[in-house]
Amino acid sequence: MTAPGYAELHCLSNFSFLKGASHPEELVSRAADLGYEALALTDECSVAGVVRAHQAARDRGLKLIVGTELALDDGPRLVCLAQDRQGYARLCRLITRGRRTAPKGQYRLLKEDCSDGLPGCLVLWLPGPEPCLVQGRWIAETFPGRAWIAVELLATGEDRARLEALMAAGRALDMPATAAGDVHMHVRGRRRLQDALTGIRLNTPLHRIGRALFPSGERHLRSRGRLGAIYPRTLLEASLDIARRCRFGLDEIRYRYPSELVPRGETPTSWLAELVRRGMASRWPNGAPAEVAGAVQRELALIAELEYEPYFLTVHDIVRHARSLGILCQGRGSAANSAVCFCLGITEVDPARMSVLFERFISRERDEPPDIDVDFEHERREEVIQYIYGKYGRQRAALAATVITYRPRSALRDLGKALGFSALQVDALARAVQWWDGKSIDAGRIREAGFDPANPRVGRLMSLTNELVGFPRHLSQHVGGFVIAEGLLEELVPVENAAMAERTVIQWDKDDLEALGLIKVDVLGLGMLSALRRAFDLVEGFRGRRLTLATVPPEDAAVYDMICEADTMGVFQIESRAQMAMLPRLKPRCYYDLVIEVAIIRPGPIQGDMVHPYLRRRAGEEPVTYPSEEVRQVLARTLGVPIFQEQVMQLAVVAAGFSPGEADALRRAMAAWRRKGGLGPFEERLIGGMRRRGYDEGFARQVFDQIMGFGEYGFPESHSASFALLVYVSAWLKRHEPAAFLCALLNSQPMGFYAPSQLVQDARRHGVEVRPVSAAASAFDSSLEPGADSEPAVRLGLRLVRGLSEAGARRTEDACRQRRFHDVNDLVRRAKLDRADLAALANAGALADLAGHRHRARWAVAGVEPSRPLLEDAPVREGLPMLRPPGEGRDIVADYRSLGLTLGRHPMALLRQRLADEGVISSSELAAVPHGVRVRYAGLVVNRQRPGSARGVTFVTLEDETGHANIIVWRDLAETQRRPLLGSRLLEVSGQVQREGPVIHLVAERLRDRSRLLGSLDVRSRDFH
Amino acid sequence: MSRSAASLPLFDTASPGEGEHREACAPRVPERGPRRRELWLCLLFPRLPLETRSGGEADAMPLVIVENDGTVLMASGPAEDAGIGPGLPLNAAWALCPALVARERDEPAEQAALERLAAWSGRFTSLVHLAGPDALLLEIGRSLRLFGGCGALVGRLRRRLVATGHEVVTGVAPTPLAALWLARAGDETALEDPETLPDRLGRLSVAVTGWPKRTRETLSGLGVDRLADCLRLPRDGFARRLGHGCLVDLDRALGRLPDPRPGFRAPERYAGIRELTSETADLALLGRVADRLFGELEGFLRARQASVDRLLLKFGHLGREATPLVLGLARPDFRAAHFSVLLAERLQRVVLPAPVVSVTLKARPSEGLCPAAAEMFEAPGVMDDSAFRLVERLRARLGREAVHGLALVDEHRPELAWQVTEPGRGPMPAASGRPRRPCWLLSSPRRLVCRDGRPWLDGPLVLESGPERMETGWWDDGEVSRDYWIMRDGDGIRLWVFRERHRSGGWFLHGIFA
Repeated sequence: MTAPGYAELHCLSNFSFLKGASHPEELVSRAADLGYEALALTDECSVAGVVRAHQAARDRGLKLIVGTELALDDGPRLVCLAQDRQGYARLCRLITRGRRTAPKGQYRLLKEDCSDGLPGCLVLWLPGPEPCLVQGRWIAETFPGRAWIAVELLATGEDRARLEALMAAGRALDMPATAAGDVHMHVRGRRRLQDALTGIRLNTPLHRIGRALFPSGERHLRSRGRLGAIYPRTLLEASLDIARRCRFGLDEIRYRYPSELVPRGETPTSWLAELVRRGMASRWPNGAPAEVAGAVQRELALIAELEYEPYFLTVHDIVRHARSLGILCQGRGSAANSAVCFCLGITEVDPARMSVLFERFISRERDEPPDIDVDFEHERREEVIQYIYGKYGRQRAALAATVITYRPRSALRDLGKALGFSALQVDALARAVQWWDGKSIDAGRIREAGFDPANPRVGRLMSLTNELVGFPRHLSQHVGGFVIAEGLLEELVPVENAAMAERTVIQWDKDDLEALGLIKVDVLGLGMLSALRRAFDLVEGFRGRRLTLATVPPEDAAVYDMICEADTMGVFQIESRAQMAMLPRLKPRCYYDLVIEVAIIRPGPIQGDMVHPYLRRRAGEEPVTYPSEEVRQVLARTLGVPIFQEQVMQLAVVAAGFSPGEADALRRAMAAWRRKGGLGPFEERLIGGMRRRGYDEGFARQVFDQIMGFGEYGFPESHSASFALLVYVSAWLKRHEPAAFLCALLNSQPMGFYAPSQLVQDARRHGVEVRPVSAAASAFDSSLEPGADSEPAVRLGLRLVRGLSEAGARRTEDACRQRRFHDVNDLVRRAKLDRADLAALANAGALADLAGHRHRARWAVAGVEPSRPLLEDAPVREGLPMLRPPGEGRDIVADYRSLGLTLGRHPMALLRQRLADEGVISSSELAAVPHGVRVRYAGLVVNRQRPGSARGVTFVTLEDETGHANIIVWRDLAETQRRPLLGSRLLEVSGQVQREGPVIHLVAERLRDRSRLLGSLDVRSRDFH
Repeated sequence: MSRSAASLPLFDTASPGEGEHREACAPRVPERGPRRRELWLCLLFPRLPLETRSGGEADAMPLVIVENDGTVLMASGPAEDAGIGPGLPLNAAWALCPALVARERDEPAEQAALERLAAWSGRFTSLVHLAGPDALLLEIGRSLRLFGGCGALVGRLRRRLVATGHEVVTGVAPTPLAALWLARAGDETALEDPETLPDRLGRLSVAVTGWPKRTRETLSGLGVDRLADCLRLPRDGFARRLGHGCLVDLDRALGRLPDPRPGFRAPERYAGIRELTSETADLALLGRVADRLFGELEGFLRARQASVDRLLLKFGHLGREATPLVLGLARPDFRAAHFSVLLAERLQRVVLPAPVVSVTLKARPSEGLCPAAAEMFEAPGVMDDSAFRLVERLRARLGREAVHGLALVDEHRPELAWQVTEPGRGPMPAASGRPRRPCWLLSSPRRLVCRDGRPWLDGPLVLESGPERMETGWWDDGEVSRDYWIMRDGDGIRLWVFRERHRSGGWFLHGIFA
């Protein structure tokens, strides 16, 4: 007897969070193995997993049905299956309704929500333990001819009675029945994980859950033979009949961009051309250069051919609106660096500046949707987002989702709780996970965590953790990927509430969107844009000259001189330690050099070993050669070394004979291979293809290794080109308007690599006068005041004062602007400050002008009683206390504590004599030490870094009163001297000086924690007065 | 007018002058009078949190006690050597010392330990006061003659305390607060002369007061680091800024205000527990841990001049019932050394079913011991319920253990789906929605023979219904994986039979339906 045919119509994946115990792909693959005719993925009020299932089903040739399981608040539980496109749209609307009317992660649906009968959907009734005929009748009447009773026999001991009861109900209601499985896992082996998920969901340890757990592992995809033994043949055939009636597949989804941006009487093509013409006229009032005009024509023709006009119009509209609000923005991405986008104002990168071919980014053959990410000022991005919601409505615009998945640590934590471990025990085990190879944990680690390694509870926990890692945990919102539709979005994909109020997300993430060919616009926030806009405002306020991204004087030699010396603290992108180490060697002299600089100091190129070949070729130490003319075309601009993601894809096309579509698949695989593997097939095709075209094995192997290195870090030229503009503009400001630049950075914190303390010290070393925070002179923000030689000086703002409320700071600013304060009481009265605000000001030394030294100021503010307004004219008369003024060291400590910086002497300056006596040198002395010499150096620990690409090396930046020193700590030393390395505030390093050109590192051989000296600073400083 | 009268009850009536050097907080002439000469001994147990959670073996490993906020409260010696100290976030501590063991603070346990220590110290004085989480204050003024002076008393007390395994810092002063503050400062030199109080206290850091962190930060922000600096500030201004309580503290410490302290009353029975840092089967270690409990017990017994004839020890395990161990004494005794010898003998014969995580000791002084029979009828007789009386009578006849109630437990596994309770008590979840279960469940499943692949019990069994599949319980070593069937035997009796899904796949009889 052959096994009967079957289609599983009721199946939950792990996108029914904490219920389903298998990935959608696993379910599809298992169903295909078992020879099921179809599988319906019916996650609870969700379709978040269907795109993954759809892709897997396409690969396996299995029919996938889209559906959902729903529990109506006032009615029965059902499964709805989409029969056709209309039914799918109805299903999405229903899910949206359920999700939008409930808090995030929950849903709420009533019978009346289905009162139209859900046209286009088939319905399975999931009766309770006692089938309720009232509910059954409602179903039969609401979904006439489209409803079945789901008979789910799960070996409860009552299967026969259950079957009889349901068949009787079916006869009474005249409703047919079908077999179904209430599947929660693809194989029985996931039973333990399913139990554990239940424990996590109910937030109860397993031993206390009792019968809320499933009694057995029957809820898996069972073999057709077994099903045949359990179910009457007619019920199994019914499942096939239902599956055949569901004709909808996700391939049918077609998506259209909003069309309302085109005025009446225009077509998208004509309107885009018109906007570009206007933009061109304003960019080049005297007429555009011929080659730009030609490029615009070619690009417009390509856009028209691919029908991408609405996309460009949409991005243009968003950018135009942001600009009207005075929000600085800059586009990047494959389509952004085009003449059209420059004319539309989407980018400020002048196409004349880097002769970038648009076709490099968008190609006819590659049928790949255009990609434009737009960065906005990070503090004002929300205004842009609200504009999009306002313009298109929440029915048509929503953010893409991000699927948050379990990582080893979160998995261990949740499972540990479910298995009855205490929070501390789980924490201890979580630490052991750091050394976990994914299978078993070293017994020693487990003993350290306080467990007997033979304890079976620990073993169970570890193996479950292994299974849970990678499971989706919940949907979150993508950082800024907007999907905007011409019609109702909720007929395309369900929309649900995000954690943030006023935010909605769709149930698909960016990979899902890409897989279905849907387009999104990324609306991102970038701190540097906030800083640049502020700097432009400050310069205009002080000098009356308005700068913009496009009008900052280009290709200024002094700016490149500064960059070549790595004098780039605060400059966008090239301020990191790795970048600073590279600048003096790369010596950028033009805009395109910056484009390369931004892209080359990334983990991808570093691991692919592209940095040194490029440097050698640039320095003329190695000839620039190309294996063929085609390769020269691709690599000429980077001296024959592939640096950008686009180049790798082009190489695959011109050298290995990939089709554009295959090249795109390669790009995706590159992005994912570290997580999923799967570069293997490409390896053979790439290397084989290149060899067949006459390239030698070495070259082919090298290209492939570089692709591997790129991994998920590969950086596209199209992004780099846009970032390079911000690099140049911020460098120009640092060079020519350092006070405004410092001020803008301070007002845009937190951002960048450096804290205000380093930025202020750097600016002062460049001759900028910085004035202290004062309640009697500072505004909320740092500001520019006239200084010496009619150059601006920076007055630090009240926003730097820790513990001062923004409202209090603003009132202080307003009151001070009206009239100078004459003492602390006057300040309290007019700025209406509470005790906490006052204490914050006193701690910051901001009352020095009003109350004297910090001890006096604190005594004064501690005695203020703001709640007695009637007595304000009768100040408290009390004895003056005997208070010593704080010493210099104590003041410096207080400065750091309250402001994070000091304008007094650097703490190291106070220790200098003592350190010098011990033979410890300063940063300025270090700069003159020749290569290979051993020295001792000490400084405040500013920064510790352990980049993943650096094979266990720790980089430490130390600071003293004369500058910085870069320390390299090899892994062995870091292990043996963990305590000084991690615990020091003041670190002394003995080591060897390493010079590579103008770059100096100190390679540590011994570390010593000298933090105690900072403590004794306090004590000794008392001797000063 | 600017001062509220309430803020200045102690204001020095000298003119509220402007002078910078007015020393209003400074000590006034101490009150003279026929006051009884008090002397206070403070016993400060600085490592109590560590000691209660490590079985007294804290320094055997890098161990920290963690506060609720995830920061280190206290570190053992090896942990301190690794650079770990109070206030450090646990993650940072782990970064410094990967082998670090962390335990949550257990404040009730500390309190219990402190109370045991209070009971223990009752033999040195009649007034013991519990002063905060880690200190005891003993009024020893009246005990001095008995013990031969302050030095002798303290010395003897310290020697005795060694047996309990607790580390102590002492402070001696005429006022309780001064004694406490000296102990916190680690200044163990006895201060018996009240005249030297202001000078000695003035040298102490403000930190010893235990004033709220905010207050101490305020003082530090004013450059006030020592109590002498405090005493120099104007009283009115000081009270306005730092609150009245601090001023009262200063006055009490200096003996300018009375500071009565309520005494501690020791409980009737002794009950002590020591937790271990990790599971262990090391009998020598368990012996050491128990010895410290015996040390406490001896102090407890000495304080009440009593002895015991029976000790109950319990060895706690992770995730299972504790192992009890009763030490019966041939005749009542109170000496720790004696208990220790007894236990050592017993431990050699004990087989522990699992590693141990805690040791508990309970004992009751022999005066309070009642005959077991008497206790049986001590149960509350107020209940005028005939069922209850029946239970009482049955129990009187059959013995207490022979009569009990039953309750359902929310659990799939039949063996665990019920429990024994006190008659008439215990949770009784609704039986509805439960699958059919037999009235009589065998205490353990009985293997059935199998003939022709079918179970056999005095004849072939006839299948009636099933299967009910049960796969659960994997998390506690009681995993079951069975298919249950209802079957009839030759007499038509319905039996509850299962087949193991794994291993031998054998058939078992598990219950009989009525």
